[in-house]
Amino acid sequence: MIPAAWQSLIEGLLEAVWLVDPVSLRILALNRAAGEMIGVPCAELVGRPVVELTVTPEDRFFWEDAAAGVAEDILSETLMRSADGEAIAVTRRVSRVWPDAGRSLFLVGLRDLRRQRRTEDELERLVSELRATLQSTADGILVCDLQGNIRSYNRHFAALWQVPEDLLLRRDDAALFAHMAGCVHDARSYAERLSEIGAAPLLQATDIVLLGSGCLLERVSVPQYSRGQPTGRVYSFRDISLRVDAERRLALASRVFESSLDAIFITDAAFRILAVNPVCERLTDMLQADLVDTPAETFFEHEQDGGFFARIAQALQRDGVWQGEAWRALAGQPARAVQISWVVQRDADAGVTHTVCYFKDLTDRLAAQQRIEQLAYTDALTGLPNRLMLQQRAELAFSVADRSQSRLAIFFLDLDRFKNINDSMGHAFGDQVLVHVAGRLKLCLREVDTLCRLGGDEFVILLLEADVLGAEVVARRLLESLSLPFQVNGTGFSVGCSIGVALYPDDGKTLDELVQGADAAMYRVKERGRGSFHFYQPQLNADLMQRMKMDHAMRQAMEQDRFELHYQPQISLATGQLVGTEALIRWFDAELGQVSPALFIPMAEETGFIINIGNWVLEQAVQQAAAWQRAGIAVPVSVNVSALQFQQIDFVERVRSSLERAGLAAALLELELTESILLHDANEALARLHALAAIGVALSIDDFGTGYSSLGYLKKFPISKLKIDRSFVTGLPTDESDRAIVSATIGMARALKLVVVAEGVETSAQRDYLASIHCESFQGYLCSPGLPAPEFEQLMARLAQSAPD
Amino acid sequence: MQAEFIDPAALRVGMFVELELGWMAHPFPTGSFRISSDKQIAIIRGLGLQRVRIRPERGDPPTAVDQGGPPAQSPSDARLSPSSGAARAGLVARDARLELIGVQQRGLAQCERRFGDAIRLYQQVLEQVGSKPRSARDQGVQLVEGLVGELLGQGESAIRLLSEGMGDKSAMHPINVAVLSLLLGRAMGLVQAELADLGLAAFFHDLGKTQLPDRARLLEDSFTGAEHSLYQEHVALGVALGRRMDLPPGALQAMAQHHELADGSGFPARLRGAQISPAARILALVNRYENLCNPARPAAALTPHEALSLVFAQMKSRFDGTTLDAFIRMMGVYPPGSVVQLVDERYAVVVSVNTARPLRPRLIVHEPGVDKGEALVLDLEQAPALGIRRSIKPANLPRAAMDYLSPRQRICYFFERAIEPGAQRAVG
Repeated sequence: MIPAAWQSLIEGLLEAVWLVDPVSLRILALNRAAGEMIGVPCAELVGRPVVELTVTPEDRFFWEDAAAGVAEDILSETLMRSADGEAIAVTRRVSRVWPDAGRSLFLVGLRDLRRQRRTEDELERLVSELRATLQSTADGILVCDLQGNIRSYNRHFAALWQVPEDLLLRRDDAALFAHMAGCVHDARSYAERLSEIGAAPLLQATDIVLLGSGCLLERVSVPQYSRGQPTGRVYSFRDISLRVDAERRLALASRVFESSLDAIFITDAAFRILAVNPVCERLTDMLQADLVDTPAETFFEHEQDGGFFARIAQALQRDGVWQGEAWRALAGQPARAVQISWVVQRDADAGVTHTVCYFKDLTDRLAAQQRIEQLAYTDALTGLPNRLMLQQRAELAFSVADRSQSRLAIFFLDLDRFKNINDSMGHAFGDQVLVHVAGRLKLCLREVDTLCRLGGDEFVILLLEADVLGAEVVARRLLESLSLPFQVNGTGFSVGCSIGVALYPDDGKTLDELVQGADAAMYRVKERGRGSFHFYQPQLNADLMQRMKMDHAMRQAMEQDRFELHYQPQISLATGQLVGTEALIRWFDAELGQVSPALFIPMAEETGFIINIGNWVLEQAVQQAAAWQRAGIAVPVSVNVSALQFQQIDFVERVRSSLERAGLAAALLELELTESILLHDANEALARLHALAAIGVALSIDDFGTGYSSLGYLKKFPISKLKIDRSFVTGLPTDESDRAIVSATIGMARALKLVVVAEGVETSAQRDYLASIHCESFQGYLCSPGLPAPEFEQLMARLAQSAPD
Repeated sequence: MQAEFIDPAALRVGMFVELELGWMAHPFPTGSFRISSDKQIAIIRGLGLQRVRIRPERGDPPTAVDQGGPPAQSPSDARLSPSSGAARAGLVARDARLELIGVQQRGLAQCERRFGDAIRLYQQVLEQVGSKPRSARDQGVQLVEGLVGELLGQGESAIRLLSEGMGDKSAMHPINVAVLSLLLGRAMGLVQAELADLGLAAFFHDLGKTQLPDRARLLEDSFTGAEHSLYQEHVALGVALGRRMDLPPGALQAMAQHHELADGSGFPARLRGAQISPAARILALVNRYENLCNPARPAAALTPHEALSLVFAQMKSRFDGTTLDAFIRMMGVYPPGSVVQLVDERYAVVVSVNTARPLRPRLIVHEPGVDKGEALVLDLEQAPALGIRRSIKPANLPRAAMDYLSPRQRICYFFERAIEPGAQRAVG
């Protein structure tokens, strides 16, 4: 055969194919796919040595072997290189073929693996992200299949349960389960609970597991679903005993209390009761308020044993745990036999911080059984159905509504300013209020409707066979009913509420959708002044929801002190010395992560929250500058002032009083204003600027060049500084129009006797250019990003050191 | 690799010993040396060793007293003998195989201990760099001497250990780079002093990064111009620290040039070819290779084989040709420790490189039905019909194959362990 004939044989193949002469090892022929793969015309490749087309050591060694006659074929994955330098993953097969009896060839076939690799990489990336997430969660996680066999767990799980090394290294489910059972304090109830959970594949359960070591684990068990089918069970464990902060632990423990079947009280190291759970209240027939601060010493009694408590205390001191039976006296009733398990909580230094006493009524196990069911479906405080029962009833109601072509309504009801009640009157009082509110709400509803407490002061109502009109009537009735004064413990007061309404099937097909819709509508009521109701409107779209969340998060962040100021240096271009610093706000949110000011500042301006933020920034920055002033560092701190903040009537007074309180020299505070302050009322603004200048604070125009104000104002204003917006600095020194704008600005500023600061300087080329046109100073990453105050102080120290004498 | 073990009581002047101890655990300059005095013997006996490894071929010829027993058969003897008793082509004879596996296991275990020591020492050194730069330097020198003296005797095991840990050893980057750099330096004929400089430079090449803000330490595609230049600062910062430590000029030079590339595309000085010192050429190549194998994001890790292929396919012009050639000769196409799949779909792990035929290394093959202790050692040179189809990441091995091939214990239940194919489908 001649090469031309081979050419037509291989031309149509999808795979890239080369034919190689076995003696010269040069390419005899290759098909179009081969040329396309590496992006070189076939004609340029024919006749070239095959090694010139290969790039990996593997191919090089193979062709060396082939030349030496010790290898004839190879099949493996390797890389090729395209004309533009990209590495192409391929499967390459070389085999020796004998087209004629007297003549042989090497046939090289190449299949492009890039698409397959991309898919594999993506899959691997997803899987490894998933693994990393599971490994990195704060909870210990154990995953079992439906038969209860262990599928996997994470490191945190192994640490919480102190799984010994040899169990980590072999797969032995029985041994691991035995190890876990051996760790718990009460093996029998642990096993009972596990088998209960195992028997109900769809059950979601939260339990507390007390380990023999005294560790208190919260175990949340949730069915694992895959495409809607339960495929296993995920247990997550969290150590709730190790939190050193007693307050927080008590708050957590209170969640524990509500779901625990045991009566529990917690004491301090001196055995004075700090808190009791609802079961304990019921069992003793006393209220928390009556039990708290009483000595635990007299809580239990034991026949014919005077030193009973002394022995318990001794055992607790020695072993960290005491178990046994005793009696609990009850007013006007026979004493009850109780089974007790009492453990000591120690801090890192092994000092006793608390003791926790679990006990249950031995005389009445049946009651506990009922309590299981009740707890599963009701809210512990109000006895109202909880979300689980609501879900069940809603599903039933949806199917009824579908059949009868009727509608139903979901109300989301939130008490107005309930937090104030809690804050001023205490949580116990707040809880009482919730119980009263629940009772009042119930009276407005029919027997068939469902009132559910989601938690806190949020209620959801499922209103059967209700259309728009019906829902409105009920909503008004609820509002009116709640507006009547309450009497709780002799105190009279009133609560308002806000209601959002969503209708089935118009606004959603599932309970979740409807509750979300009603929640969004309720939020709108809150925004417009509370005490009313609102129907869900679809235009409350996802975007708005997102923004409402953000707004909410922002307000919370302010309450919880999550904002922080960072300081970015302003550097003299002439001397390299620090001439001032700009205070920049930073917000780190646990859920949203580091939230960019570019995101939340515009929103804050929209909602007016910018005033709170601005005041906070002013206050913080002034205090910081004052601290530096006291330390002998006179560094001017500049603060951004938004137009809205500037327009506040008391703004000037606020600045003055803030300076006075902190004892800061006014000249060390600089206010950065945007041109937009003029948009509102230029005369008013001018008056205010003069008032500020009279105090002695420095004023500058921020983002200069991005607004549309008249340059004529500039000369009237008592400002001392212009800040050139970063968008003009970016293009320096190459962009001609940026150069023109910047140098014109500097020229104009000089004429008006204003100082110029360039923002966003990132490269030394930009800095050098700015210096060459006599810009006074700059700020930007080139010197430093905004830094927390302590790091900024270090930076100042460094800058001062490098100062030329 | 001729070695045998003897009772400490049988030590004689003139024997060449290799002490299986960390270099901090004995008073000698290096752990491998020829015994020159009875005093040394007394010290060795005082170390409390059950047995001492000696290298007969490097010591003085044995006297009549020493020839009491037959020498233990060494693995290289076994390797030389043809596989006469094997049922299939390429299979290594049973005794030789067990011997080979045994020696390898011991070598790996020894290397692993050395790595552990080195990592601990390295961390101590790092802590002192700021406060006691000179003393950090001295300890660094000692660390390098230890590596040169002991770890390099186990070159293949060291490479295998590094290859097996691929993808999860990024924390040990400086140690990994130092070991590979020293092995490559030795293979390229660097003399003792040059090796010492190279080792120090490898340990401290990224020292400057400790002075960078966190976000600038790992090079990312999304870096702005400013972040890029900040990242590149780590070279100058590292050299400045190295000066304070009074590192030798050769080491400082290699640190300064470890991002320079042969084609002039490196930084900071954009040097070319011969302007770059031999040590820096080695360091630049090994550093790049190591970063491909152990990137900050484990999912992006390449297998050693893929990393080598990529360096040749895409970056050949950036590295010195001679250095590249020596590297591939040393590592082989599939470096020891590589997990591979054969053309017949079986899984295997590479146990040693055949420098004459790099495509035909020796493997341990996963053969379900054959006990792990009886694992097949396959010499591909003797089995022309078989070949390696591809390399794979250990984490992607089916669980049974991983348990079989991995010489050391691994965690069984953890999520980041390989997911069995069946389980993976259920998840998807």
